[in-house]
Amino acid sequence: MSRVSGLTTLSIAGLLLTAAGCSDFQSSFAPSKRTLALIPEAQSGVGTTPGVTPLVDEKFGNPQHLKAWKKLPVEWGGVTSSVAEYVAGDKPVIRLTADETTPFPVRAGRLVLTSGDGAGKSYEISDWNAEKGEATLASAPEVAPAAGDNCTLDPGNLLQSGRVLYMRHCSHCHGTAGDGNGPTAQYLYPRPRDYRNGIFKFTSTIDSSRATRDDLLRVLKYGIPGTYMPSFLLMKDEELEALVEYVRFLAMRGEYEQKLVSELAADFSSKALETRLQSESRQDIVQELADFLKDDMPETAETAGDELAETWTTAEAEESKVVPSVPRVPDSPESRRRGRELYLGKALNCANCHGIDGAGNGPQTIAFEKNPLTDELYPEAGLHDIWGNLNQPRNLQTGIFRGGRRPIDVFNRIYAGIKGSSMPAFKNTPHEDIWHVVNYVLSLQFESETGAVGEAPAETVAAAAADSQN
Amino acid sequence: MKSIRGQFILVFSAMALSATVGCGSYGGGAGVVPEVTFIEAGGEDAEAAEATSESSAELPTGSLKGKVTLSGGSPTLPLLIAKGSAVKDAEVCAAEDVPDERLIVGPDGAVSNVFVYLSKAPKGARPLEVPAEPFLFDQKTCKFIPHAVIIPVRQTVKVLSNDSVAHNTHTFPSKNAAINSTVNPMDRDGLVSFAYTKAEAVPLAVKCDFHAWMNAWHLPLDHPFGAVSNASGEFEIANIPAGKHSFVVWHEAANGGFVQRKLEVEITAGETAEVSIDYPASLLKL
Repeated sequence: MSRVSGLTTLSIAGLLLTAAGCSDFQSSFAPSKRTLALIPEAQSGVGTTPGVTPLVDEKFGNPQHLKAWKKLPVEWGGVTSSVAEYVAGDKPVIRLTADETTPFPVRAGRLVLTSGDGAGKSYEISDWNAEKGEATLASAPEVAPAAGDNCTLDPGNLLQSGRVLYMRHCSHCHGTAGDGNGPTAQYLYPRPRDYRNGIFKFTSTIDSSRATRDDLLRVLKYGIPGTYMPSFLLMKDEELEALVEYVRFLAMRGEYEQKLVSELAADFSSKALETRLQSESRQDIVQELADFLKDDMPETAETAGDELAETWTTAEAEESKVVPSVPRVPDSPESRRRGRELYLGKALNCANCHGIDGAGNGPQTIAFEKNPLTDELYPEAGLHDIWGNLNQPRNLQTGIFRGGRRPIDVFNRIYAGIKGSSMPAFKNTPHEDIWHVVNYVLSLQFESETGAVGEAPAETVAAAAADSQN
Repeated sequence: MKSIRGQFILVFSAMALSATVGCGSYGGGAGVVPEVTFIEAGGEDAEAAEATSESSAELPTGSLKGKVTLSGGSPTLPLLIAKGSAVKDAEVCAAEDVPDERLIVGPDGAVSNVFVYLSKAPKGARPLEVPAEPFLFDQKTCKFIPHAVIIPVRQTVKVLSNDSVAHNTHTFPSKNAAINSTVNPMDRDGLVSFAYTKAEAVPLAVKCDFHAWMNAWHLPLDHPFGAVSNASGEFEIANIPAGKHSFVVWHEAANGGFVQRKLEVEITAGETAEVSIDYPASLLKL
């Protein structure tokens, strides 16, 4: 009896606490570890001159109030159109010019004028007629829109929905700022991706390029086998598109922060301060920082934005895509044997990391290495990636290929390397040789004993025979 | 509430209510749609005035010469790889003795491979001339050649190999894009080529992932005022605009890298300033 009435009290208390506790929750983008390693004045600024954190917030905002920096190649959302006619009255109506190529969106909640006398004004739409493109405004505009004024419907709505979806589906692993350190991240191996240096491992682009939207979409749709990244194929296309844009937004935000910090890290980190205080006064150092922030930082920030725009736009271009110059060499015992020769050979040296039988246990995995950026030994033996995580060379015998198991996926991994990891780009190896290695690698999971390059399945051999006769 | 059934209905409906209400409408949390403010692209008025600054032919210039000497100890490092030792790819990498290049000290304490440079180009200085021919970065017996070098930004760097085993060149810059590419054995043409686009504040490490003991240091600079000390510990930087300058002195074996963060030198027009840089052995972190 008393146990059950206790339950009642508990449930009512829980309901009240839920109501009370959620009311002023504000999430924020946490500064990166490297930002926090700077002296406080470099992080927040000196006097009225902003430091790293205010500079990043100025261009990207916080999760409640995002800022869309038009310089960045991100699809913010919103449909552009122009005013065809404005009818004033109790219920002012703006009719938009119809466009044969782009139909009006099904829903519209807000209209923003982008040219004319009322440029910049934003109006709430109380009723939207999608066939005619007529927006009934909730309140009368102060300046009457003229025919020919440009406007946008729901600007930024893709970013908005991206953020809401991201927080619901992604943030528990990938973190609010995309730092790969959400609440569940500590239980996962491998760790979720930290987007903040703009590097994504599994791409279809050359080694010096960023990931394309398609690459990110592939990862979302099919997940990463062998890791905790699931497939989100059940989500609608618009939702996936919104998520891809938001992830790119977070990646650019992280890169921007990193670029600003790298200008200051050498001279104004806490560690540097310790050594500098031996010969200089803190006041002088802060003055030097203030001068730098005022004179040089604004230009650096604009250049950083330009660089982001360039790298992320180039990633989508044709020249960034990996295109084998030779069509895929069909799978055959000869190709696999040649692949095995190359795998063990000195030119490619795959066995060094991946092991003689592809088990991911090559000699490189037991060597203690130093972190080149900090010049300190890593805590555990083996290779490490740029996120500082242990980077096991893939065990090729399992048949689990994280970046995808299509032959072109394995080709991309070899040709362009795996960005951010210790897998280098083999871009000067003849493409035909790479296909041989691809065939060998894809066959490893079926080998019953090491080095036994087995026969190809009967249908493949027959198909190869038929092809060669054509 | 007397009946257990009644109590459970109350508990269940309370939980259902809090679940349906959720946090979204309470003013915070993941379900709230954020506001979006647009910021103009702006900032296209980049001051390209650097190119139009007064030609340095008019500005009086002087030079800096110096020598870096180790004081308070002279540690000798054992060989990195002894000839014939059982390292990976020993027939190539242990074909001869490979010294440990982290600290190369001459008989009089002269330290090689010390970087001396200005962190920023002084105003009105001669602009950087980017050489048209590429810089050749080689490797032999699993040793990078050269070990420490200043490379002008935008100069093409070609990676060569004089070894019959595969190497990979993996750079670790702060501001530039990283390179991680395999180098074909005996590649004398330099199929792997890249260029640094930004000056770095401190030299960046270059490593080979196949042979973890290999390393080199590159310092991309966007001005010509930098030098690396030679085998006699000496360096020279010419055509520095007259005035007070603050040089950075950096060496890989120093704790934190900096031998001196600010070496204040007064350059007089038409004269060569001479400095003798003391490198205390207490700074060494080997």
